[in-house]
Amino acid sequence: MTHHSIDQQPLLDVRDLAVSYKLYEGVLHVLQHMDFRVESGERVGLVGEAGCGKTTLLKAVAQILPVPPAKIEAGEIHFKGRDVLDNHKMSHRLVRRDISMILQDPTASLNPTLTIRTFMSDILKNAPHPVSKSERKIQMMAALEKVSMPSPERVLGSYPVQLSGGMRQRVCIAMCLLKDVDLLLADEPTTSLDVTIEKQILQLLNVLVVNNRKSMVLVSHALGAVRTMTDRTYVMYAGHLAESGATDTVFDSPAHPYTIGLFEATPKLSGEGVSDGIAGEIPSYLAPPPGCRFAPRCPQAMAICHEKQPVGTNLGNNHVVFCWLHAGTQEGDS
Amino acid sequence: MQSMPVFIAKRLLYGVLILLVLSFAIFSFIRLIPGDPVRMSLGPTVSAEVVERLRSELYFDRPVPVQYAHWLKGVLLHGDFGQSLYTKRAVSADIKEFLPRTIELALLSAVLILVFGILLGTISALFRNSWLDNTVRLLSYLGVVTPPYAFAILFLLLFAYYWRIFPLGGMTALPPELHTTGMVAFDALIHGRFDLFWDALAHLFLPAVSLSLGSIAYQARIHRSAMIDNIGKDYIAFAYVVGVKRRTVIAKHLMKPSFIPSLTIFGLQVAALLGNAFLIEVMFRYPGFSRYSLSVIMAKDPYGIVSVTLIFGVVFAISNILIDLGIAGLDPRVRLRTTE
Amino acid sequence: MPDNQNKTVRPRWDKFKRQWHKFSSNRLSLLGLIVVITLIVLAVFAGKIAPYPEHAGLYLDFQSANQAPSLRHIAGTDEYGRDIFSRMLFGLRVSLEIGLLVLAIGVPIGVFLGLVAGYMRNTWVDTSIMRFTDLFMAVPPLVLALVVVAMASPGFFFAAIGIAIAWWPWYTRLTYSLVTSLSNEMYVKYAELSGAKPRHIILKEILPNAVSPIFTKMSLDMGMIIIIASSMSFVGLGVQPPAPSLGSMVSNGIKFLPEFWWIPVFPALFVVLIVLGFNLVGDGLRDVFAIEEL
Repeated sequence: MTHHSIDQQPLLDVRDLAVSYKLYEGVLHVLQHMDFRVESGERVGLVGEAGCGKTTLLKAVAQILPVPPAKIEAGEIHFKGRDVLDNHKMSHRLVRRDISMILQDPTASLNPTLTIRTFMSDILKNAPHPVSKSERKIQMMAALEKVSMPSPERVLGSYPVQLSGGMRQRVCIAMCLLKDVDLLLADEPTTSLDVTIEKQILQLLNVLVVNNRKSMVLVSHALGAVRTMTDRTYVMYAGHLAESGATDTVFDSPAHPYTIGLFEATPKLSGEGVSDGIAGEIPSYLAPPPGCRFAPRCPQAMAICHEKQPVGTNLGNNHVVFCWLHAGTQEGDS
Repeated sequence: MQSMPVFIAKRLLYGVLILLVLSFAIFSFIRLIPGDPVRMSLGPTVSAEVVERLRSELYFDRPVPVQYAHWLKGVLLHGDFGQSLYTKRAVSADIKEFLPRTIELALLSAVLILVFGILLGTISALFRNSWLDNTVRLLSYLGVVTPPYAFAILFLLLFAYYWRIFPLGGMTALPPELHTTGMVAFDALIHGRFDLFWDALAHLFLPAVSLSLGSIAYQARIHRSAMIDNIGKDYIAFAYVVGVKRRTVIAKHLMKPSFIPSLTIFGLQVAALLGNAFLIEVMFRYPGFSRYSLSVIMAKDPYGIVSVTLIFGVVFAISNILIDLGIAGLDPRVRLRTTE
Repeated sequence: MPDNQNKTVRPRWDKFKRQWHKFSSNRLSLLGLIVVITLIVLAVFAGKIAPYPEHAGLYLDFQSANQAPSLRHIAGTDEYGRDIFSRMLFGLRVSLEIGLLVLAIGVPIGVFLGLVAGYMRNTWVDTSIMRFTDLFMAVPPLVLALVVVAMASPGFFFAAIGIAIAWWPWYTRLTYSLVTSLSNEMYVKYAELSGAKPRHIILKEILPNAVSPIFTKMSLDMGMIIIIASSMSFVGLGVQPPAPSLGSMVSNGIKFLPEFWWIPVFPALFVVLIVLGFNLVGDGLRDVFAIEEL
């Protein structure tokens, strides 16, 4: 259960964000008209197939987009009420201090030439209140213990190449916890790990976030984990928002044809087993179709779907879907 | 994990073996050249007996393996590299006189390459696509395509002829009592003779700059591209996002891995240095080992050629080992490879 | 970024067209190509283009010696009265010829050994070939080349042989690492599994994919080889007089500094131009093929 009142402003408020990548072949419009919101203490899920722009969105929020070739074309990102895109030093500092992100590949996240201890002390040295060396050591050990790391002393003295994949991911999580962040962005934290470790890491994340009342964005292919670990969920397709709402609502009554297809494609223990998936592939970002980006693959596409991009329709309780199929069934504002 | 001393010992041993094989090969080929080097050295007027006597003394009448073994024994046990038929004295004396000067020149050049190459490359990468970067890239490009002797001409014209800032060539002569290492500027420095030190440095400057300019440019390019490659890496983004100070990310997280390809290239630079030293020493009439080597090679002096090749090989091998040690120090994946 | 946005399966000609488009969109690479083609044309037709072709050999005319650059002699004349520009053109031809000869000898040997060693990885064949390669890399290339020339006799041919002897190990190393990384590709493994003979695998599967880096290296090397060849001529162990060579023109001209500065300066600048052209082309190729090892 989360506590969010409508008067309080959201922790993170992304509006109408558009991000493009400039390549040799042309400009890829990766994100368009993205709306995204995280309240204080909320856990938000973000799902969609590979390449739909989830990582781009998170990186934009964390301000680590590679700025040439990437470019924020339009939109706003507000964090704790501050406009993050205003190029101000204070905004920058705010983001660095209060947002952390776990990247997809833990091996690539850790500098191969530095020991874990060196990396961690570099983080601690930048803390708002610098502490002594011995105090730093205490904090590092505490962080490693929080992620249930066996033999933390040895890990501190190791290089990333000496650690296993699961350990590396735990180290990354521990590093994210070294500073007291308000928002944790987890980009596919378990994709490059064994299935056996996957569950441990996800549970670990959940416990840490809930116990410390942080907010989290979880991007994951493991829909089961998203279902149990999040309060609200966003569904993305090809750089656009398809559907969003309370997790239970979205999972129990998906409205967008893509969401429906996505859930059906997931292997389930009950039911008919593995489905055939969704036919087709995601559209080219160089020359995106003029209408709804899912229209070419949508089994229920209508004429208007190919011509105009759908607007958001509120189906009640903030369950918003971007689909012409539901355009007539508005309840309140979109 | 393989310990450092073992690593070094293995490399040294291997290097020595290679050099032995190489020197034997060269020695054999030299012996197969038609003509009698002893006779050519002594001249046509000397009698045949004198020639024979000298040939015997110098082991030229023995079969190749015997001569080689004798020479090798001399090298390893007494530091005796044989007689030079060109300078008509012990090769070891030639080495002692000329080698330190070239080492000094090479060391100065190497320092210039490392310091300025990395400095320029770093600036270029950090201010990517700015006018600073573009200027450095343009100059680097010109530096890479210009042969060292072209730089030497340019500098001679400008700084020695038109503006007489630097001497035209040659090297300061050290009074014998100051001879410690044989490196002129260094010896002058440690003996506190600053007048001689500056003079030596003045003579060293233009040759060193001519030698190193092209390599500085190349080093800068490599270091720049290494840094640019690494800037985009996930571990840099992660370092930022997790809260490391920007200054630290650049100075430590970015620089350290960038040094690895940079240092790797540096090994090739040293090879180029040792090769180009030949021309620079000739152009500036710098009395160094390369100029001596050239004379010995052109005179087809057998002991001279073999000794010179060996020395170059040893210097090159030592610098490679040092560089490899440096890389291993930076990159733990290299150090730990034996256990994986 | 989504992967299917980039390449789809296309026939060879389209691939070449795409690569050419990428190459030519870089103005510097295009400039380099124009320079190289111009140089080749100049070298091939040196006899027709040079205003005083007879000056390339023995020629004496002390009346016209040491003349500054003028309309009659674009680059001036040297101490024997020879037109420097004409000699530069013939020297260019010599430089290009040496470069080609060195590559023609060194590349096949180096690549062949690299293919064999790479394919027979971790056998005695591999080890002995790579050790053999180490032998030739124990001393700096110029030193080795000079020693080889000294043991034979100075001149165009042995200079080329000397440089080739110092150069082939690099191609072995490159090919070896290419073969090693390519062998891990799926299509090679499939070929092996379906029982293809090693020779077929090497020639049909591995080699075509190794061509781009090797070719790029060749064009980058051309500049370096020309510098080394001119260095050898500089010290007198390369092309012998009276045949013109850019390196010996520079070294002979140094004693005329600073009064008759054009005698060494123009040939030196010309060398820079040649190397610049090949380097630009090589860099362009490297960008097109997206190669990191070079």
